[in-house]
Parts: sequence; structure tokens; C-alpha cells
Amino acid sequence: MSFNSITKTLLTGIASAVILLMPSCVTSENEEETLSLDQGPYLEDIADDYIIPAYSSFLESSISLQKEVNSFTEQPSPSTYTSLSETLMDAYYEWEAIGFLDFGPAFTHTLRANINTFPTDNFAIEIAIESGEIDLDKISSYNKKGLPAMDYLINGAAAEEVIGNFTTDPFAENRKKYLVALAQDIVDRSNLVSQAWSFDGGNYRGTFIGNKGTAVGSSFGLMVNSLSQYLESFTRDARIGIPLGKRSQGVPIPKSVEGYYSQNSIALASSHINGLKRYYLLGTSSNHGMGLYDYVKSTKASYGEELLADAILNQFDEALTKVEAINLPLERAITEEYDLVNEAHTALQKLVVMTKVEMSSALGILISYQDNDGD
Amino acid sequence: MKKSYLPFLGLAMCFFACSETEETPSVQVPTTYEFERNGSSSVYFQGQTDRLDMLSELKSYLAEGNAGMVIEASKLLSLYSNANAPFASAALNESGKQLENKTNPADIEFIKSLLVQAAEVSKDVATNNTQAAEGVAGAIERGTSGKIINVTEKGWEFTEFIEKGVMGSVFYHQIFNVYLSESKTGDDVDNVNLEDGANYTPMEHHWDEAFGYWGVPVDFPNGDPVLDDAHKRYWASYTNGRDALLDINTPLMNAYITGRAAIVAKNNGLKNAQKPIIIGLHELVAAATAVHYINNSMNSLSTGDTGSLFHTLSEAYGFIKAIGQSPNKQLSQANIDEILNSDFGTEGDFWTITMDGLHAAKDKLTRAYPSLKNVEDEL
Repeated sequence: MSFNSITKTLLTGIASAVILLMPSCVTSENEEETLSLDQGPYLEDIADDYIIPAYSSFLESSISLQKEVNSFTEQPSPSTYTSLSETLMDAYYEWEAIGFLDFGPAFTHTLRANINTFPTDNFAIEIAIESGEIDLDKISSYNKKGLPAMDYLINGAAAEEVIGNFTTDPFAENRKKYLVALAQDIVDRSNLVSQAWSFDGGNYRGTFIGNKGTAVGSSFGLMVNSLSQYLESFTRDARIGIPLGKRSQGVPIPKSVEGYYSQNSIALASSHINGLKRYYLLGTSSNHGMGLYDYVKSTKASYGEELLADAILNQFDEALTKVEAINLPLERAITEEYDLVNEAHTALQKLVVMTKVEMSSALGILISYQDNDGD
Repeated sequence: MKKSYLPFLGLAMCFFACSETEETPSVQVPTTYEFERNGSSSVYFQGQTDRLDMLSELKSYLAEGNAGMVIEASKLLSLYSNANAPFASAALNESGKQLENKTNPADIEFIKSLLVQAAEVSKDVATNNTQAAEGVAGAIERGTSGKIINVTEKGWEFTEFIEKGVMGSVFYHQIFNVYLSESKTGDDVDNVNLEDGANYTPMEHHWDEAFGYWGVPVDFPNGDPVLDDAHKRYWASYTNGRDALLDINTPLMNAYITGRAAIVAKNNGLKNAQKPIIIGLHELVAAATAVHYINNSMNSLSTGDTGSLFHTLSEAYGFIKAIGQSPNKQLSQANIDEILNSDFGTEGDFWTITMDGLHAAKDKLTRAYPSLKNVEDEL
């Protein structure tokens, strides 16, 4: 508690100090250079090399997932079950590469909350199945739907028992309907966002590329704000900090891990951080497009001895190493391998500061979101 | 940057200039809200400060409900009407002032019914730990902050609805519709004789009473800090909060000071010219703050943080309702109703809020207040 609040206060302090300094930064060389730089090629690469293909991949995965759901519900058997279970994880890994793109159409369609609100409410899901009332459109349904709800329905018990739930159980038909509705909802929403980016659809790509500058509502303003907020709230807190007890006076909360029922939290977190790194770098170290990395690099901002752009890249690797060093499933590691999990948390915390404070300041972008601690 | 009050300011400057050329009495405009007659202050607004303090006690007591304690309806209603010595401050108990009888009569029932429900829900939460759900009043956490708020079955946070409700239905209502009205500061109001046992004329005092509801220090905004802890609340705080983007502190303060100086100089034209500036800027603060909280709400909706969403929506609801107190409001009553009853969920049921609804509400506000358009994402 005290450690957490001190860090938080410190961080808020640093952030506010940076915000206060902002007006004076406006005339700094970094800023002028950033403004004189044509953002167009960067935005095009980010859209074409990462965002649009990533959304397409997830849409394809969600369509595959829907097919497997249909096969399984038409004929629940060990083989259709295994196939479904594997496809669900594939889709989940694909999701990890786009969940953090929380701006533009994804923001408008509240994609993240609809697809990946965890922990899911298994009790409420059972009540909905018994009553046969399926409503997936309201904000109160976030924790009863999406991938975590599917994780519960498919991985919530041993294979045999799950198959029984979909065959011999008195509510088997309702359960099938619920699972089918979940799969449909994921396809519909990922399709909406994918369409919104496409040229034939909403052409948000055009808007994105044309929305230059460093204002809060500009494309870079949106990307940096959403990235920073996501790293803070969902990468650091939701995936690691909250299960570890950082928000509950040190009391761990195993059930709040991502992918609780599949026990795949670490693999999911690893996919997620890999996705973030690819988004940042747009490719491999030797061959990459002009993305956030190059944009930060163009400011020549430094971080200690190295360039800030490289320091952030290294920190993604550092976070990845620390997360992958956790051996046990996260719900156990938070108690049995506390130090390893805590080190991963520390690495992510450093990444948050580098993005929220250093990157935003180097790019002259105001962090406009607020955490929940204000009045 | 274009600001909506520029025309008013221009008008005021014109009056200012005219007052010299037309040989009306010259107006000495001081830099602070301090005026004297025969060597002692002629400014007095203790009654307004008392009511601000009353709201602070009411709000603190309501907050006990958020902390899981049982709060009593009888005490809440007494704090609202200053009955049975409800305040910790003896001075407030004996002040003879209250919030209820200064509330816009159209809003009294709304506030009292929320006070009664706040008590009921606090009991339910304390006894059964009832959690808020669609159609169910109860407790809900804001994000993972550990901060719990009690809300109605529509997700309305009691503390915010009552605090912002009183700010609009008492403080703004009194400034706009009472003290800046013809009956209190019109040209026919007595500005010659001093009130019994006082050092001010009725018109001077009425102007001070409007100023008192704003709640800023007399040297605003030049103090260090601009607002000390005693003044960092209600409209003073929200005005200052929007100043960086909209530049409101100084023009609003100047309008109050100029109006008061004009009253001393018996210059009715200059005094009257300040009224639309004051009302317009106060209204702009409410509108800009509403946009600010709508932005926060969009963010919480996107992150799926229902507790924080309800908190900021409750704030936004109160500020939009407060706009309705303005006699000159640029946002039509029809638009206000549509935001509150439709954009903010079906019949204001926050559980049915959508991103489209929030965009529609924001759009109505930035159309009605064009100066907000440029800063709509930064607010």
C-alpha cells in the first residue's frame, strides 16, 4: 500500500512536473524538429505495416473461432472440443497484438471492453444461461462476454465435464446459444473496427494519416495517450499488478489474472508485450518500417547514455524477459514466485514512466487521460 | 483564439470609453474586489460564504455513505434546511441561513428525494453490502482505486448529484436569477441610502451577494496560490480549472469588480453591461466542465471502468443541468433535456449509455459554445 502510493505519488509528481514544463518546452529544439518533420510516412507505415494487418488477422481468427464454436455446438465431442479449445487460444494470442490500439474506431466501438474484460463474472454467466436471457449490448455485460467468458465456458472444467455441460446438462441448449452468441459478437465487433479502417468502409486510415500534429486529438496524440494509458492500466495493473495484490494491500487475487481458466496468463502476456514491441518498432531490428520508434528517434531525445528510442525498445525486451522468466501459471506464481512476478511488475512500471513521461515529453504530446484517483 | 465573451468585452469597453466622453461620473475600477466607504469596507457577503460552508458539511456527511456507513435522511434534510442545529459549526447553526429556501423552486423536490434515497441506499449497502447493478442502487468501485461510491438504480452518484445540484440550483440560480436580476440590481434598486446598521446600499450588497456565491478570494486570480484551501471548492475551483485553456479568471473577475465600481459611481450603463459578461462566463465554465467530464466518461467507457464512468457522468449531468439556470443560455432547454434524458442513456439511465450518445452530447455543447470547439479534446 505505502510502496504503491509512494510510487504513484512520485509518478504523478513527475508527470505533473513535466506537464507544467510543457509550455516552456514548446520552443525547444526537439519540439521544432518534431513539428517540421512530415508525419505522413510514419502514419502510413504504422497503419499499413501494423494496424490494418493486425485487425485483419484478428478478424480471421475470430471467424475461425466462430466456425469451431459451430462445429462444437452442433456435435460436442472430444475432437471438436480440442479443436475449439486450440482455436480459442489462437484467437486470444492474435487479440493480444491489437487490444492496446485503443483509439479511433476501436475506442468508438469500445472494442477492448467488449472483447477482453477480465476477470469475467462466471456466476453471472451461469445465471444468464439458466434464465436463457442473453444481452451482450450493455455496459453491464462487459464482464460476461468476449474471450474471457469463452475461456470460462470452454476451459472452466475438465474436457469431459465441459462436453457434458453442452450435452447432458439441463441447460445445455441455453449454454450453446450463449457460446454461439459470444462468438458472433466477437466477429461482429472486430468486423466493425476492421471495416472502419478499410478504404471501402469508414476509411479511418485516411483520417489517421491526415490527422497530423501533436495536439491531444492528433494521430500521434491519440497513439501516445492510448499506449501510455494501456501500459499503465492493462499491461502493468490488470495483467500483473492487480493479481499480485498491488491494489489490495498486498493481498494477491489469483482469479483476476488474464486467461484464468486456460492457465495461459504468461503466454498471453508474452504475446501482448511482443505485440506492443512490434507496434512500436514495425518489424524486426534489422528491417522495420517508420513507426513510433523512428519518430522518437528523430527527436534525438536521450535517456541516460543512450537514445530514448533505443531505451524504450530495450525496455520492451527487458519486460518480455522478466515476464517469460515466470515459470508457474500466474495465479500460482503470484504467491509461489512472488519475486519473479514483482520483477516483471517493476520492468513494466519502468516502461510506463518511459512512455508516459519521457516519450510524451520528447514528442511534445500532452498526456490528457487521468487516473482514477482524482476527485 | 476566438472567445465567446469577446463581444461582451467589447461592449463593456465601449461603455467604459463612452462613460468618459459622455461625462457620466468617472469610475474608479480597483484591481481587487475591495471597496470602502468612510474608511471601512462596504463589501459584505457572509451569508453566501455560510451557504458554501453548509454545502461542505452536507457533502462530507454524504461521503460517509460512500465509506459504508449509515447516513440518516433526517440529518441530511436538516443539513439542507438548517433545522435542529445540524452543523458542526455553531456559527452556521445560528446563522439563520439555509440552502433549501434559496434553491430554485423547480429543483427542491429533486434534491430532497435524492437525499432521502441516499440515506436508504447507505443503509442497504452497510447492511447487505448491496452492489450496484442495472436497475439496482448500491455501491460501486471507481476503477481499482479502492474508492467506493453509492449510486441510484440509474447509476447516479448521490454525492455528485447533490453537490453539483446545489451548485447549480442554489449558487448559479441565485447569481443569475436573483442578484443580477432587475429586482436586486436593476436601475431602480436603492443605491443611495445605506441599509440599517450597515455600510452599504442595497444595490451594492446585492452585487456582493452574487459575487459571494462564486466563492473566489477578493484578490482573485492574483493570489499565491490562486486559490488557497478554503477557496478551492465549487465554482471558484471549476473556474480556475478551465482557465488555462479558456482564459476565464481575469475577465470574469474584472466584470464583477467593474460592475461593483460602476454601482459606487452610480453608472448604471456600465453596471448593466457587466451582467451578460458575468452570466456568459459562468455559463461557459459549466459547459466547458461538462465537456471535460464527457471526455473522461468516454475514456472510462472505453476502458470498461463502470464506477469511474458513473462518477464522471454524474459530474457532467450536474454541470449541464446548471447551464439550465442561465437566463441567457446558449444551449437550448430542449438540447439540455435531450442530453440528460437521451444522450446520457434512456431517461438518464447511465447503464444504457453509449459512445454515440456521449459524442452527441459533446457535439451539442461545442455547437452551442463555439469557443470550446478548438479545445474540445484537451478539456
